[in-house]
Amino acid sequence: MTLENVVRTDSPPLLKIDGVGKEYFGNKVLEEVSFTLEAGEILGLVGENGAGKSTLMNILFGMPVIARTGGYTGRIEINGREAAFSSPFDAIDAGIGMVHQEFSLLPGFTVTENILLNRESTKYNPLVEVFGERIRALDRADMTKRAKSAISKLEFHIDSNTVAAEMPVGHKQFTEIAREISRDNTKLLVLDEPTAVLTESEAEILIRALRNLAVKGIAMVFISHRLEEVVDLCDKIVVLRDGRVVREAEPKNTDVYQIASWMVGRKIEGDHSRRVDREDTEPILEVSHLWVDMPGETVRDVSFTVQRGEIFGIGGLAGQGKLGIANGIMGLHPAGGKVVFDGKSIPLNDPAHVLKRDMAFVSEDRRGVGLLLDESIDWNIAFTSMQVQGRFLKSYLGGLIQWRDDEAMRDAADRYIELLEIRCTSHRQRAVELSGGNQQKVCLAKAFVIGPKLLFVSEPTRGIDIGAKKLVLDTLKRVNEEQGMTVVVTSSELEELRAVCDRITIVDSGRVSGIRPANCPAEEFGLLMMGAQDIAAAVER
Amino acid sequence: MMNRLKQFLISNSVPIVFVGLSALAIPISGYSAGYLVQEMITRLARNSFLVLSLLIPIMAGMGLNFGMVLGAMAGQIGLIFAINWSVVGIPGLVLASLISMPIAVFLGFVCGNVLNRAKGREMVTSYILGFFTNGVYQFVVLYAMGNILPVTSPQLILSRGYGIRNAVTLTGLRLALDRAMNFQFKLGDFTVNMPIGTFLLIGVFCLFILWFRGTKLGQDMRAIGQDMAAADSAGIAVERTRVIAIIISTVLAAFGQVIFLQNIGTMNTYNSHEQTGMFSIAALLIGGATISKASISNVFIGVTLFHLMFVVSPTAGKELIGQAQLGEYFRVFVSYGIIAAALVLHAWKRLRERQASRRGLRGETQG
Amino acid sequence: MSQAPMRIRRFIIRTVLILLLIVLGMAMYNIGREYSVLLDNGTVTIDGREYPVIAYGSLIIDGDERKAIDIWEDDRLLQKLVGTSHTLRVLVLDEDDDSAQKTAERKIEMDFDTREWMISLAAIAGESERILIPNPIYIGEQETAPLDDEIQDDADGIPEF
Repeated sequence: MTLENVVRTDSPPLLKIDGVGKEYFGNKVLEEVSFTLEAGEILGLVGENGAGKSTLMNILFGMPVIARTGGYTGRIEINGREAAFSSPFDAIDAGIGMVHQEFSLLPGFTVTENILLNRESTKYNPLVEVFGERIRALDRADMTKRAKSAISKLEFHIDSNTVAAEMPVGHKQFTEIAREISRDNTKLLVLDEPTAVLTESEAEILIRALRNLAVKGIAMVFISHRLEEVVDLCDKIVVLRDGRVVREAEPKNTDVYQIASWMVGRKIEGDHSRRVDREDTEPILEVSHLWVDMPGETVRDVSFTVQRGEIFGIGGLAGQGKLGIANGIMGLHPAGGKVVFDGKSIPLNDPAHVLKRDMAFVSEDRRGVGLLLDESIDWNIAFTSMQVQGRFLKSYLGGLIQWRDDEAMRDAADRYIELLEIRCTSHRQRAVELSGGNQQKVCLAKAFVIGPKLLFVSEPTRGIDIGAKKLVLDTLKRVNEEQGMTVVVTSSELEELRAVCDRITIVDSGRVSGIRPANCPAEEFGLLMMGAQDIAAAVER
Repeated sequence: MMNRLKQFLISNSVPIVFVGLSALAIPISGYSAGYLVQEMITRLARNSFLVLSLLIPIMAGMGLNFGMVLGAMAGQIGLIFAINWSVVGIPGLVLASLISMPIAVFLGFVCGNVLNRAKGREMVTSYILGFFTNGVYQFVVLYAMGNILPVTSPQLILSRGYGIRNAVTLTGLRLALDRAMNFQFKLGDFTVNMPIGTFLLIGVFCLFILWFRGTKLGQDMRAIGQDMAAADSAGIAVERTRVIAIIISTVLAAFGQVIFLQNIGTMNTYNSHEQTGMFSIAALLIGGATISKASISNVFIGVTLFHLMFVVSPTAGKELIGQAQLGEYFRVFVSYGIIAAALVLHAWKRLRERQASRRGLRGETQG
Repeated sequence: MSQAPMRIRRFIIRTVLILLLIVLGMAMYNIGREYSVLLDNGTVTIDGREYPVIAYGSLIIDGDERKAIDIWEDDRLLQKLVGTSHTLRVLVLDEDDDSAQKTAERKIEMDFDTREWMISLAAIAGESERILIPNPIYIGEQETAPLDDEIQDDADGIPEF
C-alpha cells in the first residue's frame, strides 16, 4: 500500500461549495453554505432533520428535483471548474459517487453483477452490427476481475459470486460502496447514513475501510447521526442548522456533546412550568415490546408507560419510528407486542375496538386519515362518535330505525367552533375549504367529542401558522388539566414537546433511546436523537 | 435436509400435482406407451416454440405476456398470404414467417409501449389489449381481405367475395416442417414419428435464450425484472428495454404460431390465436414457472404434463363416467384454474416475504 | 474508431440484411409456389398441324420415375406442380409389352395463367413448338365456386389428409 501525500495547497480544492442557497416555494432551506474539501479528506456533515443536508447533497448530485423547483444559488466547483449537473449521470461522470441510505442492490444479482450494473464488460460479436451495442455478450471473467479489484480497495473480503439477497446487511453496504469506487474516475464519495443499518462491529469495519479509501486519495462526505463515528472518522466537521453552516470544526478541537449542542442550537426556551408531581397516579397505558410495520416509520421494539393524567411526548428524528407508535396502537398499521390500557390488554390491528375503549387519535395525516374532506364541519366532528358510540342518532321503533340527529350535531359543532376558534363561514362549510390550522382544529374537535380517556395526537402543529400552533397546544393543555384527559403527543419539534409535556421519550432506529422529564436540557435530547445514549446518560449523571 | 425437501416440494407443488394426476389417469385411460410417447412428441414439437416465446418478457419482469396473442395473429396473417399465393412446403412456412415478422414487430412495439404505461399490471393489460387487437384483426381478416388486401384464393375467401373462412385447411403447408426430417423408431408395436426438423428449431431457440441471457441486453432485462427503479437509477433505458422484450416475444410467438398451425393442419381463423395464449401460459405454469421466474425446463415439463392430461383425460373420463367431453371441459377448467392459482400463489408468496421481513422488525428480546 | 463511419457501416449492413430478407421472401415465393396444371391427352391441332392422341403412355414429371403416371386416351389430369420450371417426359408405350415407342421431354415454365390454359400431352409427344391449349372450363374471370357458401362452423376441423 502506498501512502500518497494528498495535500496540494497550490492547486484548487477537489470540491468547493461557495455560498450555495436554495429555496423551495419561498421557503429558504439552504443559505450561504460554503466549505471546501481536498482529495483524500473526509468531511463529516451533521445536522438535524430538515437542516438541509439532503438538499445540499441533491444539489451536488444534480438531482432533477432541484432544477424542477427553481434551481439553486451560489457555485459548486470541482477541481476549480464550475460544476452544474443536470442529472445524476453528469455527477457520476464528474467523478462523484453516492451511497444511498436505502440499498439499491438487485436481490438476484451476484456481488459482481451488482457492482458493475450497467457498466458490464462486454465482448464483440458480429450480431452487434445488426442489433446494436447492447447485443454484445458479457465478459464474465473480466467482470469478476474488475469487481474483485474494487472490493480489494476496501480491504474487506466478500465473495464476488454471492447473490445479494443472501448477504448480511453489512456486506450489502460494502457492495454499494464497491460499486461507487469501481468507476475509474471516482474522486468523491458521498455516504448518506452508511452505518445506520449496520451492527456496531460492522460499522467499525466500514469506518476502517473508509479510512483506507481516503488514504488512496478518495475524498468523502460522510453524513451520519452517529456523532461518535463522525468525530472518530472525519478530518473536518461541518454542522448545519436551519440551512446554514453554524460551525466548521476539527474533531480534535471538539467533542460529541459540543457538536450536539451546535446542532440543536439554543432555541427559545419554552415555559417548562408543568412540573406536576404525579407519583400518586397509576399507569393508564403500558406498552411493551411493540413493533409496527409502518412504511418509513418502522417501530422495532418499544416499551414505555404513560401515567394517568399526564401529557407524554414522543420525539425523535424523522423516519426513526416515532409516528409508528400511535399508528400501531390505534391499529392502522400491522403491529405486534403487548399494549395494556386501563388495566386491560387491547388487541392490536383492530381500529374499531381501540376506539370503543375510549382512545382517540388525531393523525399526522390530516387530509388522508383525519378528515372527510368533502363533508361539512359538523359531519366531520360527529362522524367517529356516531360510528363508534352511536351518538348523534335518534332512535325510532325501539331502535329498529336510526336517524341522524342533525340538531345535536349542529350544537356540538357550534360549541367546538367557538371553543377552538375554528375560522369558518358556518358548521356547514366543507372541510376541504378550511386552512391547515383550522382543519387541525376540526380533527381535535372530532377526537374531543368522543370524550376519550387517552388521546394520541401526532404532529399537531405540522404545516400550520404560529397563532394556530399556540392555540392547538394550549387546547391540549387545557383539556388535559380540565378534563383530566391523558394526552400522548408525537412531534418532530422538540421545543414544542418540551413546552407541553411532562415527560418525553425519544425514539431512535425504532427503539426507545431514553425517557426524560421535559425540563432536561435540549442537548441531552439532541444526543438521544443521535443515538448517543451512553453519553447522554453520562451527562445526566 | 427435511427442510430442503419441504422447500423442494412447495416450490414444485404444481408439477407434482400434475404428475400425480397423470399417474392416476394413464392406467384408467388404457393407452399404450407407444401411443402416449407419440402424442407427447407431437405436442412438444407443436407447442414448445410458442411457450418458449413467453420466457423473455418474464425475464424482464413483465409477467406472463398475453401479448403473444398478437404474435399469433401476425403468424396467421402470414399463413393466410402463403395460402393465398399457394406457396407450399418449407418455402411457404418461411414466407409466412417473413410476412408475419414486420407485423409482429409493429404489434409488439405498440403493445410494449402500452405496457410501459401500465407497469405492474402487464398481465391484465396485455390480456385486454389482446381483445382490442382481436377486433382490429377481425376487421382486417373479415373485411379488408378480399376487399382492400389482394386475397383471392377461393380456398380462403368466403363466397360473398371478401373475408376469410372460419376454418382454413393449410393444404400443402400441413406438416411441411414436421415431415421434412422425420425420424421413425419402434416402441413396442407402435411406430413413433419424431419430427427432427422441428426439434432442431426449438433447440436453436433454446440456445438463443441461453445466449441472450448472457448479453448486455439480457443482463439489463434481468436487472429490470428484479428492480425497475434500481435499474433506472443505474442508467438502464428501462422503457426501451421492456419494449424490446415484448417485440422479441411477439415475433417469436408469430413463428411459434406458424409451427403450431403447420402441425395442426387447419387454422381456425378467428379462434386459434386466442387459445394459443391461454394454453401456452397454462402449460408454462404447470411446468412450475411463476409470474416472475421461468426456465427452459419449465417449458418442456409444462408442455408434457399439460398435454398428457389433455390426451388422457377424455378417455379416462369416458371410462369413469361415460363422458368423453369431460376432457374438453377439464382442459379449459385446468387452463383458467391454473392461471388463477398462479396469480393467487404469487400474491401469497409476496405476502409471506413481507411477513418474513416484518418478523425481523421485532426486537431481539422477543423470541 | 470514430462514430460516424461505424454508423454508416451499420446502416449499410442493416439495409443489406433487410433487402436479403425481402429477396429470401421472393425466392421462397418462386421456389414454393404451387401451380395446379391441367394436362390434356386429346387430339389437338396447333398451327395447322394435328397431333394425335396418345393411346397408352406414361408421364414422368421432373424425372421422378417412381411417380410415373399412366396416360390413357382422352385423359385429363390435374397436377400440382411446386416451383416455376419443370420437365415433363412423355412416353408413348406399346400396350402389349410396355416398351417405349417414343419418348419426348419438354421443359415448361409457369409463366402462363394455369386457369386459362391446359398443357397438351399429345403436343409434347409430337414435339410441337407450342403445347398450350385453351381450357374449355375457364369462363373469363369467374372461378369455380367453392362448395360451401358460408363460414364453416366446424371449429375443430379434422385435417383432410
